Amino acid sequence: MLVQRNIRPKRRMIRSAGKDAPFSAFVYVFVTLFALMCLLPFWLMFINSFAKESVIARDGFTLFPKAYSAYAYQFLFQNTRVFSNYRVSILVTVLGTCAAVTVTSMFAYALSNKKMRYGNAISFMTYFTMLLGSGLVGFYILMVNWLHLKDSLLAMILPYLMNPFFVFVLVAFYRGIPYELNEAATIDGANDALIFFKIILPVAMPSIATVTLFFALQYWNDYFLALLFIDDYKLYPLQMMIRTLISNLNAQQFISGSRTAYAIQIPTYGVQLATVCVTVGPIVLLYPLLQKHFVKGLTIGAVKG
Amino acid sequence: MGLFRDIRKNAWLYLLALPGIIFLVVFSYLPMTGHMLAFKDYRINKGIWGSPWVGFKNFRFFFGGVNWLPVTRNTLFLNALFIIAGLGAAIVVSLLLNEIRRAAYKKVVQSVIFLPYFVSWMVVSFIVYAMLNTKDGTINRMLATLGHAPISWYSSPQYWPAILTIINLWKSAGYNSVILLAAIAGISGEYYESAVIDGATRFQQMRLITLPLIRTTILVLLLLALGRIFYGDFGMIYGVVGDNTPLLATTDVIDTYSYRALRNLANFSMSSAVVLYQSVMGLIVVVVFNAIVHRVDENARLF
Amino acid sequence: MFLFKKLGTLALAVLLMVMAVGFTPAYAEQLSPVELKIMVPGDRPADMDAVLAEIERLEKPTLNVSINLVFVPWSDLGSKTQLALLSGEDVDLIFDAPWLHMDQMFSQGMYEQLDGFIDTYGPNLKAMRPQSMWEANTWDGQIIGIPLGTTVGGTRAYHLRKDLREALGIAPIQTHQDLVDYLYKVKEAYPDIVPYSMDKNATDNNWSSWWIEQHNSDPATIVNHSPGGVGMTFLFYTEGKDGTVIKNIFDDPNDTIWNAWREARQLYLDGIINPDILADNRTSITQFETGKVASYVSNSVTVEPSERENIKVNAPNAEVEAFLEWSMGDGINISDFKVYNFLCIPKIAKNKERSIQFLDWSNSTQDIYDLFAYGIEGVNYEKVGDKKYTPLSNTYPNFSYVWVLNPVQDRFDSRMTDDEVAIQMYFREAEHWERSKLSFFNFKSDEIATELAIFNDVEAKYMSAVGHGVVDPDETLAKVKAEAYDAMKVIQAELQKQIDAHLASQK
Repeated sequence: MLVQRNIRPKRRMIRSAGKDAPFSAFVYVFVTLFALMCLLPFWLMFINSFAKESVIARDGFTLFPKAYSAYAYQFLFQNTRVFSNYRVSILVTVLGTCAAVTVTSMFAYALSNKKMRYGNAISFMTYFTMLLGSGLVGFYILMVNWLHLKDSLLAMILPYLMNPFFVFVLVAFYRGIPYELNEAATIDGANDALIFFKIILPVAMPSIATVTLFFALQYWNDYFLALLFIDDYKLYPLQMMIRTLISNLNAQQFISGSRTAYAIQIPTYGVQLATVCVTVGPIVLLYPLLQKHFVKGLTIGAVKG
Repeated sequence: MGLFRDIRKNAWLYLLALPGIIFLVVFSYLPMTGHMLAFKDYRINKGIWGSPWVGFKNFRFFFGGVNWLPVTRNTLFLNALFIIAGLGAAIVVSLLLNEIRRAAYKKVVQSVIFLPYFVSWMVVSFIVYAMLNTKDGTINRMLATLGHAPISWYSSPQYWPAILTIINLWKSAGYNSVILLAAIAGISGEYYESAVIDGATRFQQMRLITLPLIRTTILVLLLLALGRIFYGDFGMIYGVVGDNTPLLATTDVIDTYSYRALRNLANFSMSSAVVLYQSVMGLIVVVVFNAIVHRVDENARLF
Repeated sequence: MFLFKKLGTLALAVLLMVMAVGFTPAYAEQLSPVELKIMVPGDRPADMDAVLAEIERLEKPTLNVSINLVFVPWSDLGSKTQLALLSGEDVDLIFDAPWLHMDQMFSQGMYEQLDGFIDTYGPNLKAMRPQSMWEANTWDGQIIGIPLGTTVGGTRAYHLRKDLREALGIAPIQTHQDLVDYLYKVKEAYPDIVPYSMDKNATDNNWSSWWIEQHNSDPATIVNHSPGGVGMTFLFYTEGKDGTVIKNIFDDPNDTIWNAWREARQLYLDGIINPDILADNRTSITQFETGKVASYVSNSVTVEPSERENIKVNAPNAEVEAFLEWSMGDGINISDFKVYNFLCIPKIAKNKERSIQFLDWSNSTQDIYDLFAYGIEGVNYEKVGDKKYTPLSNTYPNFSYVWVLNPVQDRFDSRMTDDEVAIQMYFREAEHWERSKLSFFNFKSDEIATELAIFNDVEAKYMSAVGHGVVDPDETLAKVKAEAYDAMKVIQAELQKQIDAHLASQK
């Protein structure tokens, strides 16, 4: 066996001496404070999505609103096709993430490999696109007139298949892996592709997992592609539905005569908060699932073994 | 000729790169022709190719006014603050998070610090308003209990670079720290084992082992951020500050300026011109810094 | 006998031919099936599918149209519609407006001229809109979009708290000064209530702008927005009832305008105007409905029923009244009769006749119009007489102003009082209004795009704050002059040139 897998390093078992205690205390305090700072606004959003609209307008976002109502959620679920939106979002995210991680990690590996003489040139060409972007008009004409991708799932997946930012992050990780691993494998007769899939990938798992998470987020949070290329409302992802809904609620306030609401005040702010909570749910669940890949799954020192 | 030989020698590597290369050509390089619009007077009925060339006319509205310099300065200054504070916070957070021994607590905290990333700028601006408004904002109420007079935050431009930096830090620290945590996870345990044997404290381990070994990743993140230094964070700044006149002196960036000037004009040519300016300047910055970084850390260079 | 047989065979042959071709349907005039793609702003209502199904059920036998109604978020309307047009997308009806990019699209020839189509296929469209509306909403004399509006002129009104006024013992407000006194008294008596607040985003709808617009009773001091869309904040203006000379505030300082700005500044410094007016994200009506704001300027001349109801949630004793110091007689007020929203047909659209026929059908009877505008009777709304309706649910909010709106068939909310309806009618009846000389004028601004960009930026940067009194007018106008004066001179010259040419051609 060339590499040992799943050996967790034992360093965590080593008890720290007393002189580490103040440092430990500092670490816990700081981290807890920071976590609270991040959690607090989120709590505000969550609890106020259940607050009555009149209370939000009057008091703003409060820690414990004075009156509660689930009407924002009711409005959201009854007036929209939330479930079909979810379905589309999940489909696009899963398919997109799998494809994107594959393409990007392979590409980054090729760039990082010392053997490629033109690796640097390709790196520059990749980076160049990151800066220059593609411009709205050119991009739109490409997708609609040349590739005929309107109203299709592919329109929401393909443009993000490779993200130069993640490419360079992965390149940095790959370069940190000792080249001896490659050499040992080459001696054993493996070609570059085999080396990549069987050796490099397992070692680079934390960074691959990171990039997976980020791609998933990018696909999940995106409304831009749907806005431009999807006209069929049945194919709207979650974020597009949210953007249309909120944009309309905001616009309605300026158009006199259109605020003839029936009985209950339309929960403009409540709905905005409810939509954030509804969007975040699945991702917050995804992160813990991926976390087990973030820890080191493998010792680099396995080369000797 | 060198290219074909290289391809033959490293066929498998090029094969791995092939999907990415196809993507780049189709989705990044083909649409780049749209950037020509910066030098053309775009007429929809004539299309991109048929529209007449007008040289630098589209740049005149931006560079012809007196505002392009202060606005550029704001963009650079704010972005520099964001990079330093944001990256710094991410480094601190990831280092400290790495020191947490209890796995369950660590997982919870990792998820929690990620949450601000999901909060939309609209909601953030409500929260900021709730804290900073003159009449009954949280901060002013705290100041009142301390005996201090209320400050009119939304009319005082001098505080806003700091305020915006804090908001940006809050929103992005969690996101960036994930990348650094992954880099930390890649460090071999042997380094720590031998350090402990040598009697190093955890703090020393952090400072002398972890930090240097993630230097490459930090430098790459720094370089990538520098490339965008001419692009202002439109979503944040316009969402939180909007068209609030007194604050524009310190918070108006290239993107908000361009938006205000062009929003009633439906003119793609002029907006392309501004984007071209931002891209080219960013490219120059990165080329310079890439060369500098190259001397410091061979692995951290982008190209 | 032989002839009979021949005839019989012939008849049989004809019958067989007819059967081979197919059974002709009962409605012989059914047209070929066509799908119309309609692009409008908004959010798809929950009951849209039900309403569309009903619409199609009614029109398919004759018009045979299947409707593909695409909603675009308001915030992205400009870019999405523009991209659809420039990529040559197959859209049959597209929403556009002068405040969006209608002028630019017209000058680039993107829209079809509709005069002929409306004459032939749109008799109902014509009948439901007054002649003046058709004449005034043209570009170079051409109709390039169906005008969607109800009013010929517009104005704004202050909405203020009647209960506070009565509690303070103040008589009903008749003049502007009464209003200011009322606000000062409110500030004194109710320190928790902000006397006046507005939307932060309203560049032109602020204390001073409205003050200036209101003064229409003394012809000598009337000041108007300049045409061409560049006078929203009175940096450009015209004087007199129907002025056609464009002036800029630097070369021709105008007392009415400067007094208004100075008054706003004073009110802001005295705390009458919301100190955070430029930062509060909430719309003015939302702020008002919290019960913590005593007045604001509304686009609706009468108090809206929903406003009355919503404010009671937070302030149970609150009552709302409207005030405008503005004369409503005949022949006093001028207007350019232009509406704000249009539905246009791109030049490359394939089903232009059918689109007009479809829109014409939507305006053909009150019942059909009600279906488009208010939804399904009994489910979404309820008719109240001929001119009113009551909404019954939130699943089909009224968005008729993006596709079918016309002044004849539009209904009023039944919760409005008859007085309020009468006031609203004043703004719809063309006979009360005089048409301004610049009614047919459209500003072609492509040549001076650079100067306009500079001007727009400076205007948006400073003038909202000046109008709200947040900054000192003298200092700020000096900055505006330093940054935009040269651009303004160019714009003024071009605008005046086009206006003079337009007036000359009218003679």
